[in-house]
Amino acid sequence: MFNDIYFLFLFLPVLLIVVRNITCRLQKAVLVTSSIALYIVSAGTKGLVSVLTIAVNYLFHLMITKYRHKKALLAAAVILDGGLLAAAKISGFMPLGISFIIFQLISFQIDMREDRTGPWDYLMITMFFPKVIMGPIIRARDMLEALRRSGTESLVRPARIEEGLKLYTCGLFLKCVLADNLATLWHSINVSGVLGITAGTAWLGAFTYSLELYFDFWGYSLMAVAVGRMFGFSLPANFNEPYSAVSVGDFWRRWHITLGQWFRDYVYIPLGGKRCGNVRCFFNLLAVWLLTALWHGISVNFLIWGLYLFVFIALERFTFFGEISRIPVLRNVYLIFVIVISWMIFAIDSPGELWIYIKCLFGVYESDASVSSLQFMRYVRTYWYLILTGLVFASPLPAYVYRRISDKKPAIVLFLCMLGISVFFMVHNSNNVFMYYSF
Amino acid sequence: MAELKNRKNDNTEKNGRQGTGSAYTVSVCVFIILFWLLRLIAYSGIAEGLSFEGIGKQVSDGLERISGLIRDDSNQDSGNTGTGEAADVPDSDDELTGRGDDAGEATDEQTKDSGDAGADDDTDVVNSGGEVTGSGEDEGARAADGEITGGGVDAGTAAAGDENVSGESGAADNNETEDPEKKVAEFVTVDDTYFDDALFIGDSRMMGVYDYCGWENATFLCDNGYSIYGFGEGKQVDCQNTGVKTRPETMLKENDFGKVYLMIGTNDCPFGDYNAFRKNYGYLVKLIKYTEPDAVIYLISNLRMSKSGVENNKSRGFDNERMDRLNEIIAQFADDERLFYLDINGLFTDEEGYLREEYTFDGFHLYAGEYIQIGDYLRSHAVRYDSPEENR
Repeated sequence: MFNDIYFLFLFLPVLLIVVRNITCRLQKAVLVTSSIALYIVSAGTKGLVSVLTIAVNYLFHLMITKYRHKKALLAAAVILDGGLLAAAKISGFMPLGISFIIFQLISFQIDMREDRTGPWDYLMITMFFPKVIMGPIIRARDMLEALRRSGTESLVRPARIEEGLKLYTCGLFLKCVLADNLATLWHSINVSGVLGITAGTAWLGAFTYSLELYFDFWGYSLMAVAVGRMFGFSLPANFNEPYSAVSVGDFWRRWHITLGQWFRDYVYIPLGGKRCGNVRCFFNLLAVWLLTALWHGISVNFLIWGLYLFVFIALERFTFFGEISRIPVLRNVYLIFVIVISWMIFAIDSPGELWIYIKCLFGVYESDASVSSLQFMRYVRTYWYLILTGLVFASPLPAYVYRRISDKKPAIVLFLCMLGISVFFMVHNSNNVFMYYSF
Repeated sequence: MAELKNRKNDNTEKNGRQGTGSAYTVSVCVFIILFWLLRLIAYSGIAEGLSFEGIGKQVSDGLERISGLIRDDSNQDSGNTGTGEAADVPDSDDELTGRGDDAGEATDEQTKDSGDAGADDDTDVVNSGGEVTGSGEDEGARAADGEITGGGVDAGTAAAGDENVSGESGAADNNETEDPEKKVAEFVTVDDTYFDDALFIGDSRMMGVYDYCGWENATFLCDNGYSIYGFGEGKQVDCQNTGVKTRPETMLKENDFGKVYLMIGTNDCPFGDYNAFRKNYGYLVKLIKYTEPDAVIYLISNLRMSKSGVENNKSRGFDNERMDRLNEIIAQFADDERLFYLDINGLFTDEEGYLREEYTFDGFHLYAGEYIQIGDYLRSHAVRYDSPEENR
């Protein structure tokens, strides 16, 4: 969506102009209508299932806020939504963004069980187009204030558009220039298969995939925040320099922040969190990571991935591993090593191939194919500048530079260059969907 | 980063139009207007260079470049090589059609003629493994043991529905088919030292051969997306061994090769211009023959795609029918003395003629392990002449 020419150069400007020029009372209606239309266009007929789910959830919301048996009705709504998500994952019938939509609905039902919300506000919270497909998952109350103001004041203002466009440009650059071009290396490895790589190529692939996933999802999230900003909403950030984290636990507090907060608020804390002793805390963490794994997909590799991360987080929480976070350099090496391997488990869905890949990483696999020793150097020659740029963008430097220069007029030239390059690649690589579209 | 932006945004909003004001918004608006204007111009055909005809012209320009180079060489070398007439580029459709050829822009009727010709040729096929007969090509299921039939060698079973590659096709037939004294070349199995003086030219699939067949002793000039069209317009290609970009003509002029392998054409599918492909491929063959008069030239078929590969890429102009047409054109250049067509599709296709899904990730390229089969096939389908003169 965000990396589509027609969205950026047609839908978005037209909608901004329309919302800017209509009476305030109609703003929500226009945004809701356009959000639903855009979702249906993007999701196709499968999207009707999502729309129906959202409608049924509103009926539940009306009942929960009206009748006395709140807990029973709330439990029924949560079970229904959870069951639907599980069924979608198991059957493979996955309407676009269903994982995010369901989690948003559950969050809404729990948060707003005491406060009835009007249909327009409800639809804005659940279907607002910048966030419906890939998040961020918001807390309903974060949007309500802006929604209340929308009846009396214009949501779209020049200063908001200006800031939103700058952020959007950064997000587009991350997605179209960095993520999409880094993706070709991982694609090449997939094309040759795990039998066709050397240890060097395996590490290169693992690093580039780690960067690609980050820039892909971060770029989307940044564009979601940017578009939200243009329409007067402050959507939460999903990333906070995760690769600068000092431990695996810290990494997951900086990566896909809104999903982590969802599990914290609606699973971990209700189960008792860390207040009921180490044993209980251990199992609470296990529950959270198993659910996180299942949220990503019901397959063996996601299960291994969740357990793998759980092991390191538990080690950090309960053993001396936690001390690593105090040792500079070592903590970075440890984090990158653990996380990069975790992304390989995330990316390779066949356990057999995953095992071979892991063996390739450690140089203990001998392929039947005579893999050219120069293959690795060719990849380095082709991708070194992208990897270098990626490492710079994965550091805290871009945010620092943005803070320092984004308000300066000369920076406009930089933003325009970034936009031009991004649009070039957007047109050139028109088939690259966002990686989290499949969730 | 976004959190920081939000904090800053709030300040900006409170303080009114500070910082860049709406300058970036205005710039983006101008950008959007320019974008749509350019797009309108591109689609309206005002810019001829963006149209299909423009591409055709570019190809012609490229051909002129190559043909000039060959003419220069032929003037210099004709006394030595005596191969001035063995260039063998079919010049026109009429000429091809006159020989019952089904390549290029053949009509249904022409194709039918070709099929008939192919059927007639069946009687001429010599079934002894590894023997080049110069007769027509057989069609259908056939063993892969080096049976050379009219300029083509089928690997494994031919794909169902494959059109026959005309046995009389290619200019080689002009002067070879009637020759009772024609030499018979035999395919032999060779070891890897055979490839010491080999040049491999091709696209991403040839890169797979480089990566996984273990022939770092050979020279590989190949790149992702390389095409006959790219050759025509003078695109530079990576020499995989050195990482230096160069053109085939430069590589051929500056080095001596005993064998040249071509596996190229897949990326020409979307153009759909068979005449341009035939001419350009012909110039590449001609270029090799003039610059490497002693070399054996192997023309390897382009791989057919898997069913999912076709489904996912048909809208981009890739399908097996087009691939077959290109392969038919390539096969016509074989003369069974110096130029051999090697059809490797039978190694990898299923009973419907599609590349087997288990061999590929994206429908186009083979997994690393499968390239071993190509390596084995090429090792067992090599021609070894006792002296270079025999190649002529």
